[in-house]
Amino acid sequence: MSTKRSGARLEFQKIEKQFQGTGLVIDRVSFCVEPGEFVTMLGPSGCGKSTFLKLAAGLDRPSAGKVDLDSFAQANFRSFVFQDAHLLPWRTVIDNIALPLELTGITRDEARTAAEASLKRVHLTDAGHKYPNQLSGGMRMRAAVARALITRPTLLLMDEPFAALDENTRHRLQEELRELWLQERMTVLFVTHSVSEAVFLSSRAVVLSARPARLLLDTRIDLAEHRDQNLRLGSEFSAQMRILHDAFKSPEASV
Amino acid sequence: MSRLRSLFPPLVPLIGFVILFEFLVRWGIIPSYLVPAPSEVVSAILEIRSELFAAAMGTMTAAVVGLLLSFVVGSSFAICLSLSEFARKAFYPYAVFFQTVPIIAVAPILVIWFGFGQPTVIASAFIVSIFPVIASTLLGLRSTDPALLDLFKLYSARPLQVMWRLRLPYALPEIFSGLRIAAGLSVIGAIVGEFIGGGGLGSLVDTARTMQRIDQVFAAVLISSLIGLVMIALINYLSWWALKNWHHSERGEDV
Repeated sequence: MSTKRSGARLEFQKIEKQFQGTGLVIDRVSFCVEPGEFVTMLGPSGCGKSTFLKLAAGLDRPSAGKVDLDSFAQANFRSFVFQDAHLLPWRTVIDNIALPLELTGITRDEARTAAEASLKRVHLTDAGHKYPNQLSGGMRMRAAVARALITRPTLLLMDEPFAALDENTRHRLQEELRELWLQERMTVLFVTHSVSEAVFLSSRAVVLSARPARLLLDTRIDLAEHRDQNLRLGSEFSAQMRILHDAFKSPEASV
Repeated sequence: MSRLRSLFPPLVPLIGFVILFEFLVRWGIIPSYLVPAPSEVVSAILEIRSELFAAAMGTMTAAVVGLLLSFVVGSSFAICLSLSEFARKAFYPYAVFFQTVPIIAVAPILVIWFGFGQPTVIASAFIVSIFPVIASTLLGLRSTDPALLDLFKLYSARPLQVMWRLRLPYALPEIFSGLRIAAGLSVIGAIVGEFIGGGGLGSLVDTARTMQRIDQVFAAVLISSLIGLVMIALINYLSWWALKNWHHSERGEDV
């Protein structure tokens, strides 16, 4: 399982998005996510962050502008992790994780074998036979990540996946996600409203303004490759936090 | 044990009611040609037990077959309607017709079409029980979690996969609640059918009435409500069996 795909390249070109009733949500935003980058996207709620994920996933179209992706040739090159785990409640964890492969037409047994491996990567091996409602929120989210990873995506799209978890669990999952990314080096676009989450996870952070969303800041996060909880206490971490905070709390960011 | 104990509260008013009527009739406050004493009903049941049993079997068979037809035809119809917005808007108003049709007025027509006997009774049970199946299945199929639909779309699931692996299982709790209503209605439909088409408890009630055997009428009515109860219990069991692992409605102790 060590064949490494390089990450996909994702480029938003002058994206505009209008919804009926709410008017202009995204106002000509351009930015690029380079292969293998971990980019977090910050912004006030309702600013259209999630819309970027949907555009990248091909689940929605921009009103104007273009989403450029270099990996269209590969099947299932992108995966999506939702805010709540969104597992199928009538399937066991292992069958939930196997679902994406099953939909591509491979046999249930093959899909299950791959699911076992995916389960191991998120440290959930023992929970395979359980139903989602028997799991804690953190375990459900691990399962959702395992489901997203099973297709070995080159682009992973995550929509505030850890927002509903308690702080301890959230920190542990952030650390694990960071390690997974270091191993796989898929491209990640991660939406959050937590500045510390953005600093801890990403190699680059993008801050959007309130609706209609414009780009306020696009900055590298220059911290160590391997990150653990001690990093949060250091001065480098707070310096990075301050930079994002200032952009986030600037007058343009608020409504 | 707790299941047995839960039977106790509804038994209290029943026993009180039975005792009250027994004495009201014995003391002549209510004339026994209008309401038989509960003890007379019991002795009527024992007296004509073989006829009652045969009639009950006939009624139950017709109700079960009618309900099965409603389930198969109704849910297939609902699936078709759920596939196209146009089909739903075009045909659903006519499905409501099954809800509003006065079955007692239609039964003579059924006799003309199907003759005296079982087919007429089954058709009657079918007509009154199909609408709740259509309505609840359609509601269930239309309430699928949009995020899960996105997930299936992301992995380019085929329409058939979306139906079988997502929409139908998601609709199961609704389908069962429709069947629960349909089960009670199918017994009513069968007995109305039997009034006109002959056979079963419907005929037995009719004959006993012309013979002024009010005790036998009550005996037959009692047995027919028991049939309804048995059928609803059966649906409840199926529902529990299908949903026990994952749906909250079948996980608590109350129904």
